[in-house]
Amino acid sequence: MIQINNLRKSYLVNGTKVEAVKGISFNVEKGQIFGVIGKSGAGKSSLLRCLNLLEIPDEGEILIEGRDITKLNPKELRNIRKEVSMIFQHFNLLKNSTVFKNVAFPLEIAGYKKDEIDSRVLELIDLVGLKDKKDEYPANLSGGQKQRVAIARALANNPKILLCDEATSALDPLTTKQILDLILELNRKLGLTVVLITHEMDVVDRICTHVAVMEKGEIVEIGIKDDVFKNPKSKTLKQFLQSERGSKVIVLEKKKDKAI
Amino acid sequence: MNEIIKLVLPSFLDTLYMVFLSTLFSILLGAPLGITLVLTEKDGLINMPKLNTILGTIINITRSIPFVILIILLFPLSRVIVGTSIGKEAAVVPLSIAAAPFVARVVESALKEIDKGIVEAAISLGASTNQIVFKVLLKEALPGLVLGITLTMVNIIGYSAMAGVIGGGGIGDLAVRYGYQRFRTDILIATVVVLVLLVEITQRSGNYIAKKIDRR
Ligand SMILES: Nc1ncnc2c1ncn2[C@@H]1O[C@H](COP(=O)(O)OP(=O)(O)OP(=O)(O)O)[C@@H](O)[C@H]1O
Ligand SMILES: [Mg+2]
Repeated sequence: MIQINNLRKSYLVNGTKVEAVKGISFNVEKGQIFGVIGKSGAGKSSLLRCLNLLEIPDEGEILIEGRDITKLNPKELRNIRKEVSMIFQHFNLLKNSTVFKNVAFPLEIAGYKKDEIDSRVLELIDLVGLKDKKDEYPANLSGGQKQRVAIARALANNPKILLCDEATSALDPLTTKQILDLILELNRKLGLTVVLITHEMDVVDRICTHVAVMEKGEIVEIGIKDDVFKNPKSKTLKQFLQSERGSKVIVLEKKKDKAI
Repeated sequence: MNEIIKLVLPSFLDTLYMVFLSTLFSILLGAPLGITLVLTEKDGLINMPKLNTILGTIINITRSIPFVILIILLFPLSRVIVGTSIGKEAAVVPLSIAAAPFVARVVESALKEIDKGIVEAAISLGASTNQIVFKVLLKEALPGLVLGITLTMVNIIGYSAMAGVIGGGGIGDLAVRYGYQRFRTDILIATVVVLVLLVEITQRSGNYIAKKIDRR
């Protein structure tokens, strides 16, 4: 589904080259929820943003269903972006547009007719559970609701892949869980392939089938999540798992509270 | 009183004519320039920093020429475009051109207010540069644009009075002919009152509309 070969990305910061992604290769298969974790500055966002060419890689191939998207012309690229959608940490909704209009945006720019747009938008808003909010403006929504709008918007053109850039990092734990449940549901219902990056272990633990651990622009561990987590090799993952154990205890205690 | 109204009203209408047309044309000239400035800046959607610098310099030069001098320079152009260099029609040409660079900067700063993330989201959804300009930038920046256009109008009201002084017609012209040359203090005061009211109403309406359409 997605094949990444020797991907490199660097930035020029005040004349010096900062290498954010240093020759990464891996594959993501259809239907996987692929998590990339790593500390701040490891290059996760840079990697993810190359997958829909929000960042132009310096080198390497990105094959989506066999087509190298780094070699597309602008029009082909705009079309492939309709198949590879993205949601963001800060939602990035149109603030002067209602929920309905936000979800309609990708359909309008794709040139659909008005009645087609109307029915599709209502369907999507229903899918993410925001039926009663369709005429609200983003300013009147909670963070979780905003992310639901962003998800509906991202799904409008029936993408095959959903990229999530710290999609739950601005949300509280309960809302995070709800958004992750929604992503999981979409993955199962629509066969959506998901690539998500996060620095929260909990996110990976909860929904990912596969995981890659990044350190300083390189992947240091990769594989099926359960396998990788059972036998952590990298310093980063060991540290992450350690702090995770601490928070697990809290989660268990909370569950007990609820049971009572 | 009747006489004052008889004198002031036609001049006032002339001023309105100049202000509305000049605002309209200055937007038509300045807005595309402002949009171009935003698109061509470094790392903009159409990364052309050299063109950006050239346009920016032209705008700065035009803006630093005092308006009175600009009118004198541009009145000959009025003869070419509207066939005369006196009267309200003639004044519209220098007024529009003088206000255009101002509009360009106003549009530029309103569009730059938009969160880069919103533009990025639009790109990620497959939007073209055109679609981003019209469906994202201009739409999201609308409240700021309304305030900017209001500011432009207020400026043009002031400029139009100056244009009146050197043959442009309108309230400024009346103030000179009657208030100054014929020592009619009552007319002079009336022209000032009318201008103050016009500015006040323009600014208040602009603020009101901008607030009304701002959903952020
Ligand atoms: N637009 C940019 N311009 C210059 N340098 C950048 C840019 N984006 C990222 N970098 C640099 O690239 C490196 C990797 O950044 P990146 O944002 O990919 O990391 P990350 O793993 O997503 O971190 P975080 O968890 O903090 O989001 C960092 O050193 C960062 O400073
Ligand atoms: Mg990041």
